[in-house]
Amino acid sequence: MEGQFRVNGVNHTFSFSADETLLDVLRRHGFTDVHCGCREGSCGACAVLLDKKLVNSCLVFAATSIGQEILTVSGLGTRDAPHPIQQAFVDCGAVQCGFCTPGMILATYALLSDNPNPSDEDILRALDGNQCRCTGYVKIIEAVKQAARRLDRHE
Amino acid sequence: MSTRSPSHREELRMAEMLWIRPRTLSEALEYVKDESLHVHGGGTHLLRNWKGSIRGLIDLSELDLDFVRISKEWIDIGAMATYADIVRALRNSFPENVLVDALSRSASTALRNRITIGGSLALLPPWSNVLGPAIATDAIVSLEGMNRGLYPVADVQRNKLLLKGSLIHSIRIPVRHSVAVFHTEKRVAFDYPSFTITICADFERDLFTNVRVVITGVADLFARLESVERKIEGCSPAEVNSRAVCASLPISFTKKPLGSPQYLLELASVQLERCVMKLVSLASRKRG
Repeated sequence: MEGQFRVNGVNHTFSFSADETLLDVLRRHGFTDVHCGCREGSCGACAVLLDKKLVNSCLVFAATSIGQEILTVSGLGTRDAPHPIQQAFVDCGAVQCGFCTPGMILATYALLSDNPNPSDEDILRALDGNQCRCTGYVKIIEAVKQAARRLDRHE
Repeated sequence: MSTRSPSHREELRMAEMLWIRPRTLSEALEYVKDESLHVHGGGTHLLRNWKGSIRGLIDLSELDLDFVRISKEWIDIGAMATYADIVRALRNSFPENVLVDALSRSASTALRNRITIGGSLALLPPWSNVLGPAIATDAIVSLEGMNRGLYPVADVQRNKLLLKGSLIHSIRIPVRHSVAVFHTEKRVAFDYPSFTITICADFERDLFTNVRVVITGVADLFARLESVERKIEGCSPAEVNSRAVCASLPISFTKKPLGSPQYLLELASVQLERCVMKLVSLASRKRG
Protein backbone atom coordinates (compact mmCIF):
# COMPACT_ATOMS: atom_id res chain seq x y z
CA MET A 1 0.00 0.00 0.00
CA GLU A 2 1.01 3.61 -0.39
CA GLY A 3 0.43 6.68 1.71
CA GLN A 4 1.37 10.30 2.30
CA PHE A 5 3.41 10.92 5.41
CA ARG A 6 4.48 14.32 6.70
CA VAL A 7 7.82 13.86 8.42
CA ASN A 8 9.61 16.81 10.01
CA GLY A 9 7.47 19.22 8.06
CA VAL A 10 8.07 17.62 4.63
CA ASN A 11 5.55 15.51 2.71
CA HIS A 12 6.69 12.07 1.58
CA THR A 13 4.97 9.25 -0.26
CA PHE A 14 5.99 5.89 1.12
CA SER A 15 5.21 2.41 -0.14
CA PHE A 16 4.91 -0.19 2.58
CA SER A 17 3.23 -3.42 3.58
CA ALA A 18 0.06 -3.22 5.61
CA ASP A 19 1.73 -5.08 8.47
CA GLU A 20 4.81 -2.83 8.63
CA THR A 21 5.45 -0.72 11.69
CA LEU A 22 6.06 3.02 11.51
CA LEU A 23 9.55 2.34 12.88
CA ASP A 24 10.49 0.10 9.97
CA VAL A 25 8.95 2.37 7.34
CA LEU A 26 10.75 5.44 8.69
CA ARG A 27 14.11 3.72 8.95
CA ARG A 28 13.76 2.16 5.51
CA HIS A 29 13.24 5.66 4.10
CA GLY A 30 16.34 7.11 5.69
CA PHE A 31 15.09 8.28 9.08
CA THR A 32 17.64 6.25 10.97
CA ASP A 33 17.60 8.77 13.82
CA VAL A 34 14.61 6.70 14.93
CA HIS A 35 16.41 3.89 16.72
CA CYS A 36 15.31 0.28 16.87
CA GLY A 37 15.69 -1.08 20.39
CA CYS A 38 13.38 -3.68 21.84
CA ARG A 39 10.54 -3.79 19.30
CA GLU A 40 8.07 -4.26 22.14
CA GLY A 41 7.40 -0.80 23.47
CA SER A 42 9.64 -1.07 26.53
CA CYS A 43 12.82 0.91 25.80
CA GLY A 44 11.52 4.07 24.10
CA ALA A 45 14.48 4.33 21.68
CA CYS A 46 12.07 4.38 18.74
CA ALA A 47 9.88 7.17 20.11
CA VAL A 48 8.54 9.78 17.70
CA LEU A 49 5.86 12.42 17.97
CA LEU A 50 2.73 11.52 16.04
CA ASP A 51 0.40 14.50 15.80
CA LYS A 52 2.29 15.98 18.76
CA LYS A 53 1.83 12.86 20.90
CA LEU A 54 4.76 10.73 21.99
CA VAL A 55 4.43 7.15 20.70
CA ASN A 56 6.65 4.09 20.36
CA SER A 57 6.94 3.73 16.60
CA CYS A 58 7.65 0.00 16.97
CA LEU A 59 4.10 -0.47 18.20
CA VAL A 60 2.38 1.71 15.61
CA PHE A 61 1.28 0.31 12.28
CA ALA A 62 2.47 2.65 9.55
CA ALA A 63 -0.98 2.50 7.97
CA THR A 64 -2.47 4.33 10.95
CA SER A 65 -0.03 7.22 10.52
CA ILE A 66 -0.99 8.21 6.99
CA GLY A 67 -1.67 11.92 6.82
CA GLN A 68 -0.39 12.57 10.34
CA GLU A 69 2.47 14.84 11.41
CA ILE A 70 5.52 12.87 12.42
CA LEU A 71 8.40 14.48 14.27
CA THR A 72 11.73 12.70 14.68
CA VAL A 73 14.69 14.07 16.58
CA SER A 74 16.38 15.36 13.42
CA GLY A 75 13.33 17.54 12.88
CA LEU A 76 14.00 19.36 16.13
CA GLY A 77 17.46 20.64 15.42
CA THR A 78 20.70 19.98 13.59
CA ARG A 79 24.33 19.65 14.59
CA ASP A 80 24.92 23.28 13.62
CA ALA A 81 21.62 24.58 14.99
CA PRO A 82 20.59 22.32 17.84
CA HIS A 83 17.33 22.70 19.68
CA PRO A 84 17.76 23.96 23.28
CA ILE A 85 16.78 20.51 24.49
CA GLN A 86 19.50 18.88 22.41
CA GLN A 87 22.02 21.46 23.61
CA ALA A 88 20.99 20.92 27.23
CA PHE A 89 21.58 17.18 26.90
CA VAL A 90 25.09 17.85 25.58
CA ASP A 91 25.88 20.53 28.15
CA CYS A 92 24.72 18.39 31.07
CA GLY A 93 26.65 15.30 29.98
CA ALA A 94 23.41 13.39 29.52
CA VAL A 95 24.65 11.48 26.48
CA GLN A 96 26.98 8.48 26.65
CA CYS A 97 26.41 5.92 23.92
CA GLY A 98 23.56 8.06 22.59
CA PHE A 99 21.27 5.20 21.65
CA CYS A 100 18.43 6.24 23.94
CA THR A 101 18.98 9.95 23.35
CA PRO A 102 16.61 10.60 20.42
CA GLY A 103 13.74 9.04 22.39
CA MET A 104 14.70 10.92 25.54
CA ILE A 105 14.83 14.23 23.70
CA LEU A 106 11.46 13.71 22.04
CA ALA A 107 9.91 12.69 25.35
CA THR A 108 11.36 15.88 26.84
CA TYR A 109 10.02 17.93 23.95
CA ALA A 110 6.56 16.42 24.43
CA LEU A 111 6.70 17.17 28.16
CA LEU A 112 7.89 20.76 27.87
CA SER A 113 5.40 21.53 25.09
CA ASP A 114 2.62 20.63 27.50
CA ASN A 115 4.19 21.60 30.81
CA PRO A 116 6.95 24.24 30.56
CA ASN A 117 7.69 24.09 34.28
CA PRO A 118 7.62 20.42 35.25
CA SER A 119 8.21 19.08 38.73
CA ASP A 120 10.60 16.19 39.34
CA GLU A 121 7.62 13.87 39.45
CA ASP A 122 6.34 15.24 36.13
CA ILE A 123 9.73 14.58 34.53
CA LEU A 124 9.93 11.02 35.84
CA ARG A 125 6.39 10.38 34.63
CA ALA A 126 7.00 11.86 31.17
CA LEU A 127 10.17 9.83 30.61
CA ASP A 128 8.83 6.66 32.21
CA GLY A 129 8.97 4.78 28.90
CA ASN A 130 12.54 5.74 27.99
CA GLN A 131 15.28 3.47 29.28
CA CYS A 132 18.99 4.26 29.47
CA ARG A 133 21.59 1.63 30.26
CA CYS A 134 24.51 4.08 30.45
CA THR A 135 23.85 7.20 32.46
CA GLY A 136 21.83 6.23 35.49
CA TYR A 137 19.34 8.97 34.54
CA VAL A 138 20.64 11.69 36.91
CA LYS A 139 22.16 13.81 34.17
CA ILE A 140 19.24 13.20 31.88
CA ILE A 141 16.90 14.67 34.48
CA GLU A 142 19.31 17.59 34.96
CA ALA A 143 19.24 18.14 31.21
CA VAL A 144 15.44 18.22 31.16
CA LYS A 145 15.43 20.83 33.93
CA GLN A 146 18.13 22.84 32.18
CA ALA A 147 16.16 22.73 28.93
CA ALA A 148 13.03 23.89 30.77
CA ARG A 149 14.91 26.83 32.26
CA ARG A 150 16.42 27.83 28.92
CA LEU A 151 13.15 27.56 27.05
CA ASP A 152 11.47 29.58 29.74
CA ARG A 153 14.10 32.27 29.28
CA HIS A 154 13.82 31.90 25.47
CA GLU A 155 17.52 31.04 25.14
CA MET B 1 -0.92 -29.89 0.62
CA SER B 2 -0.94 -29.92 4.41
CA THR B 3 -1.51 -26.52 6.02
CA ARG B 4 1.35 -27.34 8.35
CA SER B 5 3.93 -27.72 5.59
CA PRO B 6 6.58 -24.98 5.56
CA SER B 7 5.90 -23.88 1.98
CA HIS B 8 2.20 -23.36 2.67
CA ARG B 9 2.95 -21.30 5.77
CA GLU B 10 5.34 -19.20 3.72
CA GLU B 11 2.57 -18.50 1.21
CA LEU B 12 0.34 -17.30 4.02
CA ARG B 13 3.11 -15.06 5.35
CA MET B 14 3.78 -13.46 2.00
CA ALA B 15 0.17 -12.65 1.22
CA GLU B 16 -0.41 -8.94 1.77
CA MET B 17 -2.35 -8.30 4.93
CA LEU B 18 -5.55 -6.37 4.34
CA TRP B 19 -5.94 -2.97 5.93
CA ILE B 20 -9.64 -2.18 6.19
CA ARG B 21 -10.85 1.23 7.25
CA PRO B 22 -14.65 1.23 7.52
CA ARG B 23 -16.33 4.63 7.46
CA THR B 24 -19.44 3.68 9.40
CA LEU B 25 -20.24 1.44 12.33
CA SER B 26 -22.50 -0.78 10.23
CA GLU B 27 -19.71 -1.25 7.70
CA ALA B 28 -17.32 -2.21 10.52
CA LEU B 29 -19.83 -4.69 11.91
CA GLU B 30 -20.02 -6.46 8.57
CA TYR B 31 -16.27 -7.00 8.65
CA VAL B 32 -16.32 -8.09 12.29
CA LYS B 33 -18.43 -11.10 11.30
CA ASP B 34 -15.33 -12.46 9.50
CA GLU B 35 -13.32 -14.26 12.18
CA SER B 36 -10.15 -14.13 10.11
CA LEU B 37 -10.06 -10.35 10.54
CA HIS B 38 -8.90 -8.66 13.74
CA VAL B 39 -10.01 -5.35 15.18
CA HIS B 40 -7.33 -2.65 15.46
CA GLY B 41 -7.78 -0.15 18.30
CA GLY B 42 -4.40 1.28 19.27
CA GLY B 43 -2.56 -1.73 17.90
CA THR B 44 -0.06 -2.03 20.72
CA HIS B 45 -1.15 -5.45 21.95
CA LEU B 46 -1.49 -6.76 18.39
CA LEU B 47 2.09 -5.92 17.53
CA ARG B 48 3.50 -7.23 20.81
CA ASN B 49 1.75 -10.54 20.28
CA TRP B 50 2.14 -10.86 16.53
CA LYS B 51 1.21 -14.44 15.77
CA GLY B 52 2.49 -14.58 12.21
CA SER B 53 -0.14 -14.07 9.56
CA ILE B 54 -3.29 -12.13 10.19
CA ARG B 55 -5.49 -11.90 7.11
CA GLY B 56 -6.52 -8.34 7.82
CA LEU B 57 -7.06 -5.60 10.38
CA ILE B 58 -10.19 -3.52 10.82
CA ASP B 59 -9.05 0.01 11.63
CA LEU B 60 -11.73 1.77 13.70
CA SER B 61 -10.11 5.22 13.61
CA GLU B 62 -12.73 6.71 11.25
CA LEU B 63 -15.69 5.86 13.48
CA ASP B 64 -15.45 8.79 15.94
CA LEU B 65 -15.28 6.47 18.92
CA ASP B 66 -12.60 8.47 20.75
CA PHE B 67 -15.02 10.55 22.80
CA VAL B 68 -15.16 11.17 26.54
CA ARG B 69 -18.50 12.72 27.50
CA ILE B 70 -19.15 13.81 31.03
CA SER B 71 -22.56 14.57 32.51
CA LYS B 72 -23.83 14.83 36.08
CA GLU B 73 -24.81 11.17 36.12
CA TRP B 74 -22.53 9.38 33.65
CA ILE B 75 -19.11 9.28 32.11
CA ASP B 76 -19.35 7.87 28.58
CA ILE B 77 -16.07 6.79 27.03
CA GLY B 78 -15.77 5.66 23.42
CA ALA B 79 -13.89 2.45 22.73
CA MET B 80 -11.15 4.26 20.82
CA ALA B 81 -10.40 6.79 23.58
CA THR B 82 -6.82 6.34 24.70
CA TYR B 83 -5.74 6.17 28.31
CA ALA B 84 -4.15 9.60 27.91
CA ASP B 85 -7.40 11.03 26.47
CA ILE B 86 -9.39 9.66 29.39
CA VAL B 87 -7.03 10.89 32.07
CA ARG B 88 -6.88 14.34 30.50
CA ALA B 89 -10.68 14.58 30.30
CA LEU B 90 -11.39 13.28 33.80
CA ARG B 91 -8.59 15.06 35.61
CA ASN B 92 -10.36 18.39 35.49
CA SER B 93 -13.92 17.24 36.21
CA PHE B 94 -13.36 14.20 38.45
CA PRO B 95 -9.77 14.19 39.70
CA GLU B 96 -10.68 11.69 42.42
CA ASN B 97 -12.16 9.19 39.99
CA VAL B 98 -10.26 5.95 40.34
CA LEU B 99 -9.74 5.72 36.57
CA VAL B 100 -7.52 8.82 36.67
CA ASP B 101 -5.13 7.14 39.09
CA ALA B 102 -5.28 3.69 37.50
CA LEU B 103 -4.86 4.69 33.88
CA SER B 104 -2.19 7.32 34.51
CA ARG B 105 -0.07 4.59 36.11
CA SER B 106 -0.48 2.08 33.29
CA ALA B 107 2.41 1.18 31.00
CA SER B 108 4.31 4.32 29.90
CA THR B 109 3.61 7.82 28.57
CA ALA B 110 4.09 6.74 24.96
CA LEU B 111 1.92 3.65 25.36
CA ARG B 112 -0.83 5.56 27.16
CA ASN B 113 -1.10 7.71 24.02
CA ARG B 114 -2.05 4.59 22.03
CA ILE B 115 -3.74 2.10 24.38
CA THR B 116 -7.50 2.30 23.92
CA ILE B 117 -10.05 1.42 26.56
CA GLY B 118 -11.96 -0.79 24.13
CA GLY B 119 -8.85 -2.71 23.19
CA SER B 120 -7.88 -3.10 26.82
CA LEU B 121 -11.25 -4.50 27.84
CA ALA B 122 -11.32 -6.87 24.86
CA LEU B 123 -7.76 -8.17 25.12
CA LEU B 124 -6.66 -7.39 28.71
CA PRO B 125 -3.02 -6.71 27.84
CA PRO B 126 -0.56 -7.17 30.73
CA TRP B 127 -0.09 -3.44 31.30
CA SER B 128 -3.82 -2.76 31.56
CA ASN B 129 -5.03 -1.33 34.87
CA VAL B 130 -8.57 -0.82 33.64
CA LEU B 131 -10.33 -4.03 34.68
CA GLY B 132 -10.42 -3.53 38.45
CA PRO B 133 -11.60 0.11 38.32
CA ALA B 134 -14.14 -0.72 35.61
CA ILE B 135 -15.74 -3.46 37.72
CA ALA B 136 -15.51 -1.50 40.97
CA THR B 137 -17.25 1.52 39.43
CA ASP B 138 -20.11 -0.68 38.07
CA ALA B 139 -19.13 0.25 34.53
CA ILE B 140 -21.25 -1.01 31.65
CA VAL B 141 -19.98 -2.01 28.24
CA SER B 142 -22.04 -1.14 25.19
CA LEU B 143 -21.66 -3.80 22.50
CA GLU B 144 -22.75 -3.46 18.89
CA GLY B 145 -23.18 -6.31 16.45
CA MET B 146 -24.27 -9.88 17.03
CA ASN B 147 -24.55 -9.45 20.81
CA ARG B 148 -25.79 -5.89 20.79
CA GLY B 149 -26.61 -4.68 24.30
CA LEU B 150 -25.38 -3.33 27.59
CA TYR B 151 -23.36 -5.62 29.81
CA PRO B 152 -21.54 -5.21 33.11
CA VAL B 153 -17.79 -5.33 32.49
CA ALA B 154 -17.50 -8.43 34.67
CA ASP B 155 -19.98 -10.31 32.47
CA VAL B 156 -17.98 -9.52 29.32
CA GLN B 157 -14.81 -10.79 30.99
CA ARG B 158 -16.45 -14.00 32.23
CA ASN B 159 -18.00 -14.70 28.82
CA LYS B 160 -15.67 -13.73 26.03
CA LEU B 161 -18.06 -15.24 23.50
CA LEU B 162 -20.07 -12.04 23.88
CA LEU B 163 -17.36 -10.33 21.82
CA LYS B 164 -17.72 -12.77 18.93
CA GLY B 165 -19.16 -10.93 15.95
CA SER B 166 -19.44 -7.81 18.09
CA LEU B 167 -17.61 -4.58 18.77
CA ILE B 168 -17.15 -2.68 21.98
CA HIS B 169 -18.72 0.70 21.20
CA SER B 170 -18.27 2.45 24.53
CA ILE B 171 -18.15 2.09 28.28
CA ARG B 172 -20.45 3.94 30.62
CA ILE B 173 -19.54 4.68 34.21
CA PRO B 174 -21.99 6.07 36.76
CA VAL B 175 -20.79 9.18 38.56
CA ARG B 176 -20.66 8.24 42.20
CA HIS B 177 -18.16 6.88 44.70
CA SER B 178 -16.78 9.82 46.53
CA VAL B 179 -13.71 7.93 47.79
CA ALA B 180 -11.53 5.50 45.92
CA VAL B 181 -8.20 3.75 46.36
CA PHE B 182 -6.18 2.01 43.67
CA HIS B 183 -3.06 -0.08 44.14
CA THR B 184 -0.94 -1.79 41.50
CA GLU B 185 1.64 -4.32 42.67
CA LYS B 186 4.75 -4.09 40.51
CA ARG B 187 8.41 -4.93 41.00
CA VAL B 188 9.67 -1.71 39.41
CA ALA B 189 8.01 1.37 37.95
CA PHE B 190 7.73 0.08 34.39
CA ASP B 191 6.56 -3.45 35.03
CA TYR B 192 3.41 -5.42 34.51
CA PRO B 193 1.23 -5.60 37.63
CA SER B 194 1.08 -8.90 39.46
CA PHE B 195 -2.23 -7.79 40.88
CA THR B 196 -4.27 -4.64 41.33
CA ILE B 197 -6.65 -3.67 44.12
CA THR B 198 -9.49 -1.20 43.66
CA ILE B 199 -11.76 0.03 46.43
CA CYS B 200 -14.59 2.45 45.71
CA ALA B 201 -17.24 3.68 48.10
CA ASP B 202 -19.68 6.44 48.73
CA PHE B 203 -19.07 8.34 51.92
CA GLU B 204 -21.99 10.35 53.29
CA ARG B 205 -23.12 11.18 56.80
CA ASP B 206 -19.97 9.54 58.11
CA LEU B 207 -20.86 6.12 56.69
CA PHE B 208 -19.45 4.01 53.86
CA THR B 209 -22.04 2.76 51.36
CA ASN B 210 -21.99 1.12 47.92
CA VAL B 211 -18.62 -0.39 48.77
CA ARG B 212 -16.83 -2.23 45.96
CA VAL B 213 -13.58 -4.13 46.43
CA VAL B 214 -12.04 -5.75 43.34
CA ILE B 215 -8.74 -7.56 42.96
CA THR B 216 -7.35 -8.52 39.54
CA GLY B 217 -4.47 -10.84 38.66
CA VAL B 218 -5.85 -13.71 40.72
CA ALA B 219 -6.21 -17.27 39.41
CA ASP B 220 -9.75 -16.54 38.17
CA LEU B 221 -8.58 -13.32 36.51
CA PHE B 222 -10.48 -11.09 38.93
CA ALA B 223 -12.54 -11.33 42.08
CA ARG B 224 -14.98 -9.04 43.78
CA LEU B 225 -14.31 -9.38 47.49
CA GLU B 226 -17.87 -9.27 48.79
CA SER B 227 -16.83 -10.56 52.21
CA VAL B 228 -14.57 -7.52 52.57
CA GLU B 229 -17.26 -5.20 51.22
CA ARG B 230 -19.76 -6.42 53.83
CA LYS B 231 -17.34 -5.60 56.65
CA ILE B 232 -17.03 -1.98 55.49
CA GLU B 233 -20.59 -1.35 54.26
CA GLY B 234 -22.58 0.83 56.64
CA CYS B 235 -19.59 1.48 58.91
CA SER B 236 -18.05 4.74 59.94
CA PRO B 237 -14.29 5.16 59.48
CA ALA B 238 -13.77 4.60 63.20
CA GLU B 239 -15.60 1.27 63.02
CA VAL B 240 -13.51 -0.22 60.22
CA ASN B 241 -10.89 -2.66 61.53
CA SER B 242 -8.63 -3.01 58.51
CA ARG B 243 -6.86 -6.11 59.82
CA ALA B 244 -10.07 -7.96 60.58
CA VAL B 245 -11.58 -6.85 57.27
CA CYS B 246 -8.72 -8.38 55.29
CA ALA B 247 -8.37 -11.67 57.14
CA SER B 248 -8.88 -14.96 55.24
CA LEU B 249 -9.26 -13.70 51.69
CA PRO B 250 -11.15 -16.12 49.39
CA ILE B 251 -8.66 -15.83 46.52
CA SER B 252 -5.71 -17.70 45.09
CA PHE B 253 -2.87 -16.90 42.73
CA THR B 254 -0.80 -18.78 40.21
CA LYS B 255 2.98 -18.52 40.19
CA LYS B 256 4.21 -15.22 38.73
CA PRO B 257 7.61 -13.52 38.25
CA LEU B 258 6.98 -11.62 41.48
CA GLY B 259 6.67 -14.81 43.50
CA SER B 260 4.90 -17.98 44.50
CA PRO B 261 1.12 -18.22 44.95
CA GLN B 262 1.59 -18.27 48.73
CA TYR B 263 3.77 -15.17 48.68
CA LEU B 264 1.36 -13.31 46.41
CA LEU B 265 -1.55 -14.16 48.69
CA GLU B 266 0.37 -12.86 51.70
CA LEU B 267 1.33 -9.71 49.78
CA ALA B 268 -2.22 -9.14 48.57
CA SER B 269 -3.53 -9.39 52.12
CA VAL B 270 -1.03 -6.81 53.33
CA GLN B 271 -1.69 -4.45 50.43
CA LEU B 272 -5.45 -4.80 50.81
CA GLU B 273 -5.15 -3.90 54.47
CA ARG B 274 -3.15 -0.81 53.51
CA CYS B 275 -5.75 0.10 50.88
CA VAL B 276 -8.52 -0.13 53.49
CA MET B 277 -6.50 2.06 55.84
CA LYS B 278 -6.03 4.57 53.05
CA LEU B 279 -9.78 4.52 52.34
CA VAL B 280 -10.46 5.28 55.98
CA SER B 281 -7.90 8.07 55.94
CA LEU B 282 -9.40 9.62 52.79
CA ALA B 283 -12.88 9.49 54.28
CA SER B 284 -11.69 11.05 57.53
CA ARG B 285 -10.12 13.91 55.59
CA LYS B 286 -13.36 14.42 53.67
CA ARG B 287 -15.24 14.61 56.92
CA GLY B 288 -12.86 17.39 57.94
